[in-house]
Amino acid sequence: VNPGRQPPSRSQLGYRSAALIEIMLDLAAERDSQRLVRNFCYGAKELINAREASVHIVAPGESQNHLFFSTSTSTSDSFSPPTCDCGLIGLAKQAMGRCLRKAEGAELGIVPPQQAAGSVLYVPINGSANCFGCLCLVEKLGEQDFSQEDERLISTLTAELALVYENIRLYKELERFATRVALESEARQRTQEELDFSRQEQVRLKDQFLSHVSHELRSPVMVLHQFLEILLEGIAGEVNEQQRGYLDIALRNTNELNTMIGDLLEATRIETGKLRVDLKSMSLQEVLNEATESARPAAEQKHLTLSLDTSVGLPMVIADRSRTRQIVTNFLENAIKFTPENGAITVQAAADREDSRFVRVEVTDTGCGIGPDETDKIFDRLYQVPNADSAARKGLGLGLSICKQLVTLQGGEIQVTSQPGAGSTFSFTLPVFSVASLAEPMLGEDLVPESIFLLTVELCNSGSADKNVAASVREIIERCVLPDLDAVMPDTYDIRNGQMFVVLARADERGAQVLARRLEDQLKLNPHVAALPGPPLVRLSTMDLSVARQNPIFGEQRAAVVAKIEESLKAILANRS
Amino acid sequence: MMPEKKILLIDDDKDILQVLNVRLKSQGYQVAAAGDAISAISVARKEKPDLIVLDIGLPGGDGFLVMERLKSLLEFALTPIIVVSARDAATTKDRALKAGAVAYFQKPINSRHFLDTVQRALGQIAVPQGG
Repeated sequence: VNPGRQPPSRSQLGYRSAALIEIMLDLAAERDSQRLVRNFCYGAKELINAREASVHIVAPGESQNHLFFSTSTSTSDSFSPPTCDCGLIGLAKQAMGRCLRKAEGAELGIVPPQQAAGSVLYVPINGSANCFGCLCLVEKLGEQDFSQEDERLISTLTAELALVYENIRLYKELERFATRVALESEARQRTQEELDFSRQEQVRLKDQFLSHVSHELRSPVMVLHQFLEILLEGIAGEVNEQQRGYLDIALRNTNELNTMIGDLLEATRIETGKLRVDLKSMSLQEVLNEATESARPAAEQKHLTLSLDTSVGLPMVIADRSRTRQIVTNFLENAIKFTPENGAITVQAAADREDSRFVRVEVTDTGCGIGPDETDKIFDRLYQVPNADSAARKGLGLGLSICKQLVTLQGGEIQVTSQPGAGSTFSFTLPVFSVASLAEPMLGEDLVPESIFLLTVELCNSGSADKNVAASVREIIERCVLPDLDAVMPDTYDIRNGQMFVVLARADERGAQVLARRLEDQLKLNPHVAALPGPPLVRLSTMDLSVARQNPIFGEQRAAVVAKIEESLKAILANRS
Repeated sequence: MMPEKKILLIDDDKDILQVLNVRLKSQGYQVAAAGDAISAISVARKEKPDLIVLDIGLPGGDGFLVMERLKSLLEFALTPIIVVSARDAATTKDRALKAGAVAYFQKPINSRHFLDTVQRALGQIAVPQGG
């Protein structure tokens, strides 16, 4: 208590409280600790009306990081921070959080700043955990010493400083942490990207390598294969029975090698997304016949019954002919491999019982069957049936995974059902052909029946009902047809001794005429066609459907075709509206 | 009497040349051979083949180049070319046919199909001999 000192008037107290709040608000907005300390110093000096103020902070957890600020313009030598034997923390502990006067400080061994001739007030800066700094006010101007009100005011301000200071520190720490996290995640992402890239690069190199190797293997396999055949055919001289037997084995193995090379290439194509199917309308009957017949010798060698059973009126499908044959052949090879002697293999094809928009092809055997655990895995790449005997294990384990991919690409589904010990049924589906699906890609919003032209290509001269020429013409037509503009009807219709192909084309301004010219050009270029003697082999005619149906030069059979197309198109139209 | 038909083989693989040579000679054809794209044209001019069996991967320019040059020469404009290549039919067949080949075979070839094609190409493209 300072005797002879007037207690402050209410208005003076109000003024100082307002000033305190203003300074506190200023400090609260600060985000930089150095500026905070500086503003605090000036604020404290002004609020308390001291000659000078200085702050010394030892940032918590960072003992090296001292922060010192003084309002004094003289050099730091002459206004050094107060020093104490026990350090600032010690000082705070000694002071028990109170403000200390000059004399109290001296008792605790605090050496005041050199310039401090008059009164001094030490104010500890207490953080949430401990004391981390000290404010030193030097000389209360116009008075003997600092008042208790000064102490209360400055304690409040110092508490605010401690709070804001700690907030800034925490905020900075958070920021640093966020930056570190961001940097780390960026680095991780970069590493991941690098890893992905190198993995992709590895896959690419592996695929390139496999593709190269497989291609390079084809020529030597061809040489082996051809010379073995030449020997077997006796072109190079007589071969005795034993030699023939050995050569047969060599030839069979060469064929297996060739299949494996093909599988390797297919697997590579699947990996690189280059596996393509060429979807066309086709009859399954023929493909199944071919596949079954070419598997027959191997089946007979094992005394297996091999039968083909297709339902009458099997609908046409949209599929890739050679790929479909490949799938059936693969199923048959597996069936032959895994069925013991005197067993039976059946190939069946019929409209799918569950979905009439599909045809299902099934290959059933009386082989060893597959356990339920394995039916899921059997279409996986490189999967080999465990416990199979060594002859059955021959191969790369790629066949069925390739089949699955091929079926999927054709819009179907692959499946296996099996009873271990009794046999297995491998099956796949293919979408049924319809004129609608054929015409769909070339239909625009403006579709009316008149917008589709019918183009017929006829082989009308041929006393040479040469199948090869017809096939070659058909191939040209198919190559000339653009999938989204034109479509080829599936059947070639025998017209007496000639053949007719039907092409649908959108009738825009030039429409079918453009297609006709495209075809004519190609047909003229083809040596088969060009070399044929006699009257023009190919006649192209274009007409819209309504004309085509009524045209008397259209025979009965052709009129039926046109009617069928028209009906399908009407159905499409009905569905659209 | 019909002279023997002559077939020119163009392939850089000597073993392939030999095996096709044996095959075709056993069928009564005369056979000539060239091992690269550069000599192919001069050998063709000298030998005047009735049919050419052409590989695609060749030193000195690929088979497409050879085909283009042959087709641009009047004397070979109608000579049928059969391409036999290790490249995938899926990627190369169309291109070969468009360039003017009459058939495409992916190695290893099916002999019967190959010989049928040779015979047919020679038969159908034949310019009537002796009037």
